[in-house]
Amino acid sequence: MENLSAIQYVMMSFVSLKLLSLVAAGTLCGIYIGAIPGLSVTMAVSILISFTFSWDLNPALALMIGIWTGGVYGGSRMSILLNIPGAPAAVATGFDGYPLAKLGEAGQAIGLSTTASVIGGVIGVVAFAFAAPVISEYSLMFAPRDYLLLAIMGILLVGSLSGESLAKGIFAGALGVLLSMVGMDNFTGQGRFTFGNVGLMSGIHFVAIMIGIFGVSEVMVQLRDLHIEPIKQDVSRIIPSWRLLFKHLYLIIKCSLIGIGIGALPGAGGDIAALLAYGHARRSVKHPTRPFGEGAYEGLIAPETANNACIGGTSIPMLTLGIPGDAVTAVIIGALYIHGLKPGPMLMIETPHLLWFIVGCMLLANVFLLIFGLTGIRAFAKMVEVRKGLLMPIIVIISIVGAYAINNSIYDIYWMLGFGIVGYFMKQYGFQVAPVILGVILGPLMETGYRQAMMDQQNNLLGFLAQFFVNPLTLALTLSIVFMILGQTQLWAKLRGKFSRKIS
Amino acid sequence: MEEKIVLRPGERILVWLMLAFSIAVLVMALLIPNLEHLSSSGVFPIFIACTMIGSALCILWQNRRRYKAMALREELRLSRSFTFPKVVIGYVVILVLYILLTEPLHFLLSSYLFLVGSFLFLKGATPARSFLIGAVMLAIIYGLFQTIFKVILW
Amino acid sequence: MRKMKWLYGVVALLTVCFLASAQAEDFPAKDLTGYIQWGAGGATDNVARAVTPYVEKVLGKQVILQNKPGATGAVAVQWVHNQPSDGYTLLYGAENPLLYRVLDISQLEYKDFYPIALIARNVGVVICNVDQPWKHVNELFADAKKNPGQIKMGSTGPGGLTNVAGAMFKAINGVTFNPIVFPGEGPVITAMLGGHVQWSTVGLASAREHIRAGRLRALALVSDTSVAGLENVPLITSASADYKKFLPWGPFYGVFVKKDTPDAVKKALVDAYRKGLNDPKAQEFIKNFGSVFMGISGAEAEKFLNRWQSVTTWLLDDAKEVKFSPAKFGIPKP
Repeated sequence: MENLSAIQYVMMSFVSLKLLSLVAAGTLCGIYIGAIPGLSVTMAVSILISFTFSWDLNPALALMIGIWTGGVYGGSRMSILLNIPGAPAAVATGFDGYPLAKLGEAGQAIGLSTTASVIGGVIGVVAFAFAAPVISEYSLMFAPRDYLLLAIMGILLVGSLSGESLAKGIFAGALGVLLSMVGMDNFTGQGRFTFGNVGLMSGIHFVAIMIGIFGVSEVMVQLRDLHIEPIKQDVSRIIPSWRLLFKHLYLIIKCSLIGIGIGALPGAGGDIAALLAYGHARRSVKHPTRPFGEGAYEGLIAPETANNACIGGTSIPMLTLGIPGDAVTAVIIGALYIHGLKPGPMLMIETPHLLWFIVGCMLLANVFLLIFGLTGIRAFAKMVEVRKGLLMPIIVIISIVGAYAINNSIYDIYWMLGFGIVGYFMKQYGFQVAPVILGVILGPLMETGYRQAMMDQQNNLLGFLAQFFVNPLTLALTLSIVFMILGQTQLWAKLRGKFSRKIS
Repeated sequence: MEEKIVLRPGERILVWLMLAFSIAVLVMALLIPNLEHLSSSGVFPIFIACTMIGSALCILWQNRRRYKAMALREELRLSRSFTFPKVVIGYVVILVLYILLTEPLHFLLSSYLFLVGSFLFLKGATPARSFLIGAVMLAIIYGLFQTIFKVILW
Repeated sequence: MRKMKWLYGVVALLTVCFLASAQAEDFPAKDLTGYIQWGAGGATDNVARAVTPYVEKVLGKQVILQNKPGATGAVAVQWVHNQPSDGYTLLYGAENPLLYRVLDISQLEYKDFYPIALIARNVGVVICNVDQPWKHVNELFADAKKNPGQIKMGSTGPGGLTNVAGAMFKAINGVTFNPIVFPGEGPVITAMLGGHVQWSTVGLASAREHIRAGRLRALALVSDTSVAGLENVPLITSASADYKKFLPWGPFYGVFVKKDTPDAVKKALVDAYRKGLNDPKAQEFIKNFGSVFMGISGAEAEKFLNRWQSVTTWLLDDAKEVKFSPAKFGIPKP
């Protein structure tokens, strides 16, 4: 009997025309909100709260979930087409997606990212539906030291993103971490690198850095060869073949699990999941379709599956514990309050149908994602073919408004344009810009984890180091980092080379 | 690979500037007050500044031969056309003008001038079309952000 | 002829300007903007977005809410202060600005603003992981006396609720802990559920459901009156009657305009918020949210703010957590 009612709740959004159309509208809007840098799902959902506060809970949730699912996916579009990630979670998508667009395969890339997103999204929802209580207990086991280890795991990706020179990559990564530290230190209230300026106290928003260093710098590089005709996009084959998907099924499943796992951690979200999944793909796929960074399909599949699987993941602590994993879930929790619910551990016990209703909406949103994602690709891909003299200023103005929209602050525009110029210099001189963003995203996670772990041991260095070997979970993470470092053969070979030189 | 990156006039200057910047960062990091514990505000910044200095020195060392191959004066001369072609300089000027004018002229006017100016400068469209496309784009952006998303543009 | 047309334009423009200024009397003549000093999804944001629609109904105009977080809200305070004093720009703030001067974050604070409405306040609750042995806050304090500076306390950083409460406990009971800082109450609770910190003091709004589910144990309410539904939780005054002098105390959420806004406008806003907040649905939200309704404005609210500031800044001064002594700004001792 109980199972029957669960199925009824799952099906609710499928059978009601009103809910169905709300999810559809939400997903469609979400795709475009996600695609525009600076417009975020968080923003859209919080606007919806004042818009839907007089509605019933179910239609309001249906709309929000649609926007959420669409928005997380939508970020990938601009990443692939213009190398401007629409959202932080789409940064990793551009690593191989943009090279694909440069090869004239933007259509395929979008098609592939859509299918990967949907598969990842569905796997995430399934995990959410059937394993939520178990996963939420596991997510609580993560201590500050474990977050530090996760951040280190992510930062190791610098090794594969630094292009011609590892030293340049490390410099760029450290620069990113430095940028993330500007502003008021949460731990002590101390301003760092602020020069006593209130504007700088709030730090530099990482979306402003992201738009500038990827988007505007790319525009400036493109200006140099304005006369070159844009690449003709081949849009004949958009839907990826079953064979391609089947070949990568194992990778898709692994990356979905990474997405769910990271998403379920209250201290880490889709951006980190996508980066870790990309790193995992680089390490585990021995024979990619093309070398990574030059348009490997695997490099596109991994982050896209992970960031959409993350939706199911972050919903787990949201519903089982009432704890937001990121800004979007925080806003949704607020919406639940406003609609008279009490988010927290009792929510699932007192209103168990809520889970099934959300699961239903999420599944439906993924169906619509597939439909909307695969239609209209042609028009999108053709956008890249617009004459550069026309396209570039439009990109810049959208970047400007997007940067402003983050915090309604004109300063963010200055930062964004400033980092555009910095990014241009870096690109000119063989520095990669991706490590900068990697540093910006992972820097705070790393610093917070390190300092909390240090405080936990009352600033005792030995106690701090000992922590990494006491607990089985931590030990597993530590060991996998050791193996990752050893596995990055270049570094291993270099170390060995240096070592033997020293001996001789 | 080596030949492809051999000619990059200005790189040496940039890396030296980066080194100087990193040293300045280290000094600022050391000046962050209350450096008492391993978990104080200043510890991580110092660590990062040292990483930056280390990697900048590493870049200089790895490329010492390549950098030596070019005289400083020669490098400066060549870097002008390499990094600062006219079109980039021109566009940066437009961006700076936009930044200066955007607050006094408010969003709509300054952005319109910027759009039309850049279309014309980059020869993206004929003057008449530039004016039209600029207006249409702004109308879309304004409608989307200000009306739908309640982002109050300045 | 052309010149005349131009003149007509000027005349029309002037008329519009004149009409606009004349309409200031029946405030509001256009939509208002409310700047929230914390990010989307935070408690201040939740409260602002939940109650504002009821006020909009009364005002007959929209209040467009914008998040402008940064530097514990100082960015939004500065921003609103830079806008014209016409009452069309509102500040949705929490308690933080009262600490800006002693923490050297900004020179502005609520003295430069007029409280339109203090909406609600939150009660602090001392909580611990259920695996910990303590059942009453006295047991926690006794344990802390034996192991000074050892017990792991989840903290939200300087000036945060946890640290001020910690300063209270130090001032009255002389106990010290090992504070581990997290970027907010949510992360503190998460870490506590996982056993990575042992106890903390957080707002009841974020802890109540965990207490109800039996995942966290409430050791004391930082209040001298009990809260509905939590009657069996001891009050902090049961540890020592000396706590009375600090109470009532806790984070609060309010709406402010610039001090030099015209009185008629202030009055219109105060009335609108009073009516809006008294809507039964708004009241229900505030109760659901685990907070205590305040609904005060003007002089009454200023009295509350002054007392709050004096209690908190001097406590932080004792704990050596301030950059400047409250005496420097003429803040009286409680």
